[in-house]
Amino acid sequence: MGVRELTCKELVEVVTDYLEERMPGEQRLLFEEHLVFCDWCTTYLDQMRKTIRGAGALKEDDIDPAARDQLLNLFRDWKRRS
Amino acid sequence: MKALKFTRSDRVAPFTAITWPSPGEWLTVDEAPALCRRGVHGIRATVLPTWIAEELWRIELDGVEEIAHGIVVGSRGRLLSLVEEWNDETAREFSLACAHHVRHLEAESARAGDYAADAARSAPSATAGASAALVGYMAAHAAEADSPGGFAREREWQAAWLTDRLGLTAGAELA
Repeated sequence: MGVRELTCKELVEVVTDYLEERMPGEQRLLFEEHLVFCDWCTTYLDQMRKTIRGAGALKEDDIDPAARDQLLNLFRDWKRRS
Repeated sequence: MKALKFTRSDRVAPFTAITWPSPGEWLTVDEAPALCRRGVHGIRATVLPTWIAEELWRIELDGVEEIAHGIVVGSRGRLLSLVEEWNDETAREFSLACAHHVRHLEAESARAGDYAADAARSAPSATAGASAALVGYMAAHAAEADSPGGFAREREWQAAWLTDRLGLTAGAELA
């Protein structure tokens, strides 16, 4: 039996489950064990938290109309292509 | 019961970012303890190297359950005293000891050798925090790459080293 642990790649894949508390305790344990020694993943988790906080406070009026139109066009194109 | 707790600088819990109250004051949680989710978490000395951070505290927990290997969770807890012996200097000593302990593996398989060499390269600049934790982790992986079960054995050795060097042998409840 090998060492039970999460790699950086695995941590990135499950970070939303961790933040939304949808992860079983044993997996949270492995997740946090990884954070102890991995500055990169710790930074990534901090960035995710800041993004969620920032995005959560945004209202529709906060977006510049030109940027909003550009984003909507991008989404429409993406929809057409998929 | 008495237990141990690693925190970031200034008593900040490493994962929740909660600041623990001053030593002696209780931190209380209303909900039932759950691993890595709810409750006041502490550790036993046997898992010290896995949870290394900037500060190490002796703590007291009430309403305790041991819900994972070496991890105890209570409904309330308080800091008792800072383990002054844990600092950048002893963290570096620990890192050098870890690297030295697997140094002989540098000549073994490529994978074990790479881990051992990485540990040796990183140890001299390690401080109390993630860098010391990483050296211990690499040394344990060197041992595992050399022989199955080596990771756990190396972690045991590292825990014993820390327990002895930091003078934590006294409280039997920490073992």
